[in-house]
Amino acid sequence: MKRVEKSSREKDIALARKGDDRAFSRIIEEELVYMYRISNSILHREADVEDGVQETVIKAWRQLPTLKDDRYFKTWLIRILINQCNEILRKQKRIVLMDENPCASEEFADSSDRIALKDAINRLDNELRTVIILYYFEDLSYSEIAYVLGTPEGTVKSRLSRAKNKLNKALSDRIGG
Amino acid sequence: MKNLEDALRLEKESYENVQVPQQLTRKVGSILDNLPPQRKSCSLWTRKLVAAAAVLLIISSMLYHQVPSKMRSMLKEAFNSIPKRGTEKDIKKGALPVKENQYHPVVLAFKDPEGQFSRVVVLGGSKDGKWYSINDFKMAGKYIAFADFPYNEGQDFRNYVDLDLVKGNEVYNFYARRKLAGKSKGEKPILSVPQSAPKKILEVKIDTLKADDDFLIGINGGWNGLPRVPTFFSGLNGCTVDLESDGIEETVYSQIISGNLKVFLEKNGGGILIKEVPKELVDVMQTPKIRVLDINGDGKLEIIIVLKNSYETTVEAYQYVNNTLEKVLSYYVGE
Repeated sequence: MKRVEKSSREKDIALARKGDDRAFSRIIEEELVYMYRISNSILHREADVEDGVQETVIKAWRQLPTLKDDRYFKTWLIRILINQCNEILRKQKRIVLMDENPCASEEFADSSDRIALKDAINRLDNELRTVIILYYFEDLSYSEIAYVLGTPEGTVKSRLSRAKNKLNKALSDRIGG
Repeated sequence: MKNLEDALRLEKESYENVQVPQQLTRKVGSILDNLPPQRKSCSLWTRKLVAAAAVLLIISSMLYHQVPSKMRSMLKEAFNSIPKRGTEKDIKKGALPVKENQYHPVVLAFKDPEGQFSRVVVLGGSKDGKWYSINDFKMAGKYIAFADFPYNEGQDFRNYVDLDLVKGNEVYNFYARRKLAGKSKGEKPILSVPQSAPKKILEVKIDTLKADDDFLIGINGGWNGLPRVPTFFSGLNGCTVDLESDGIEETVYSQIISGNLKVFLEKNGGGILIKEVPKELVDVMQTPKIRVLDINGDGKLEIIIVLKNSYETTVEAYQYVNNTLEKVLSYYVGE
């Protein structure tokens, strides 16, 4: 059997699982960008976003020995991150106010299609927004999103379809209105 | 906008341009420099060995009849209480025990100060496909005036009343959010009238029941109240479930819009506003509790909304059939 050479990232994950904190630091430095982007798109408020990312880093470190397959490190990390973000939302019982959306008022006047789309995405329910972010922006597959969210693939597809319907409706309403 | 897919691809560019703030990079760097001890995990072989030992122990105990019968019955009851995923067969099976010409009361139990469930209020009920509120019944007997709802231990709670809806000795199946929490038998009802509210309240003392939830909904009827188990989301106050058993999931959730609380029912991307509470009342209100449960045994799930604050409690049940929403039961008590 041909022996496949492990990449430096795979080696780092294997080392981190055995308790090598330097290897873990190298991985997190690489993953920090998308962790921030996802957390930012769910939580919006800077302090919450930071809390979400920091807690995820600590949890990931502590739970790393339980990771069953190194190949799924990224989806596993996103799963921890999303659970953490949802936990923050749940604790605060903070519901994103549609009228208080950060990019709703002044940017909307700019009437750019892209700003309108961004606004419509921000107005989606958390579950629907998360699926859009993971599928379109983080390029995760249906099965990966299903793992991240702990839901069946069918639910992911139906949420994605509902999210797209809502986005289409929001954008057509805007054009019509 | 030409096409949503194209637009999302364009939006991805701006999403990817988001930079991690330096402040966060510094904070994470500090965490990485001071990582706590990592959790040790058992090796795969150790875990397999422990699991095999547990299985062997259980099998050998059962073979030698060393599991006490009480424990066996408890295990059986626990297993039976796990709601099964809904199928067409389950629904038909669930609908069978609805007895004709018999009232099926629906009750609500709040946790008492001792952390258990010992009394319920009657929300109403159904019979032969029709809904009934307690005002539809003539009641014979005394009632307690100026009752301090719901726990007035000093009052004489033996002022029972007679009515057709609840005769006493009914066994209620009490449901939590996603499962059957337990069964309990009720006494005859007690009629009370709270201060400043000329509304009748029917309370029933039940055999004490313990459960983790804040409140339980009880049904007197043999059917499965949860033929399809809802999915509740941690980030959303609401749940998703196929209410009508038509293969399409509905989502019921609450949201604050312009300060007002709104409860929506969403299906296929379209939404219906179920209930709206003005912002003046929202400030002192707890987050609304949303439940779904088949409370009349027709195999379809009703939506139950519980709104509560320090002064008042409102409970409303809605039936959703053929894309039409109808309020079927309501209960209110307040100062």
